[in-house]
Amino acid sequence: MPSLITGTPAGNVLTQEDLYLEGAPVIIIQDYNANLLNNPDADGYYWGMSGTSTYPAKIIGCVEDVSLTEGLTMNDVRCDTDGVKDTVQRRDYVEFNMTIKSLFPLSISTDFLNLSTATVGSDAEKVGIGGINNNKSYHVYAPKVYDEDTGDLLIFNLHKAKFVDAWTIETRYGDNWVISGVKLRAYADSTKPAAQKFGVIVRHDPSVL
Amino acid sequence: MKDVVADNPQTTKISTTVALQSLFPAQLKYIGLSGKEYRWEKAGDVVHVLEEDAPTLLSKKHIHRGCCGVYSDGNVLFQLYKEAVNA
Repeated sequence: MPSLITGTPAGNVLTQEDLYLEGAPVIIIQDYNANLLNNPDADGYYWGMSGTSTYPAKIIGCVEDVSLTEGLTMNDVRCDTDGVKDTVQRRDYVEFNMTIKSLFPLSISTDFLNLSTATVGSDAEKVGIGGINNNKSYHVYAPKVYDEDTGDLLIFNLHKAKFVDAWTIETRYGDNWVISGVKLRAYADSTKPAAQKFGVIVRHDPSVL
Repeated sequence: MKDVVADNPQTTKISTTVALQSLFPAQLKYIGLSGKEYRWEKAGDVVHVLEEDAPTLLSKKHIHRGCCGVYSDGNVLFQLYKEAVNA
């Protein structure tokens, strides 16, 4: 018995790192028709983003309260004799929720507000509030550099996402305008391997890995 | 009857154009220094503009105060698509 009793199990034991992240990732979107930067990479993973003239990458400006969550269908396997013996789960979607402070330019906010394509001229930009184009999907690339000295970063890459649910533009007294209720929901992309059909997470940290 | 054109030959002006490609995901509508209006329907579209209009259009940015670090210089709207061609 060890001199210090910690309660840890015997045998092969793995631990997590004493490393904690702070702040939101940058959220970048690109038209779904664009090719991913790694399509796939040497390990068979589909991820990364490269803006092109036809399909520019767009950075969602000044976000706050970003959270990444998922939607599941989950049902217990109930047996009258024994009770709940199992739970069957199926992943439905993966979703970024966020609050956005940047309303301009309208030609970018038209994406997360589900407005029409903008018309931009020398002195004005115009967008229409019409029906919602349900055929428009995006790649989502959300990097978070957690050590700026070494460039260590974590990347969330969602393959096929849409902006869903109702937004609210809050015009607060004495405070900046806020666009709340924005949800960027990623669905299964059947063109990707089953194990990564919703997305891929990449961690780049040579000092540890 | 004399041919007026033959007696007073007009100088034929060859307009040189430059192909500019839109980099911005919107319909872009701009009037060049020549007074000619140009329109790009979507990002990636290429429109031939008069050479005299090109510098102004190439220098256009949609915003001058970007939000995001290295991209804070604003959104460049156009890039040269290929060498100038004679119209």
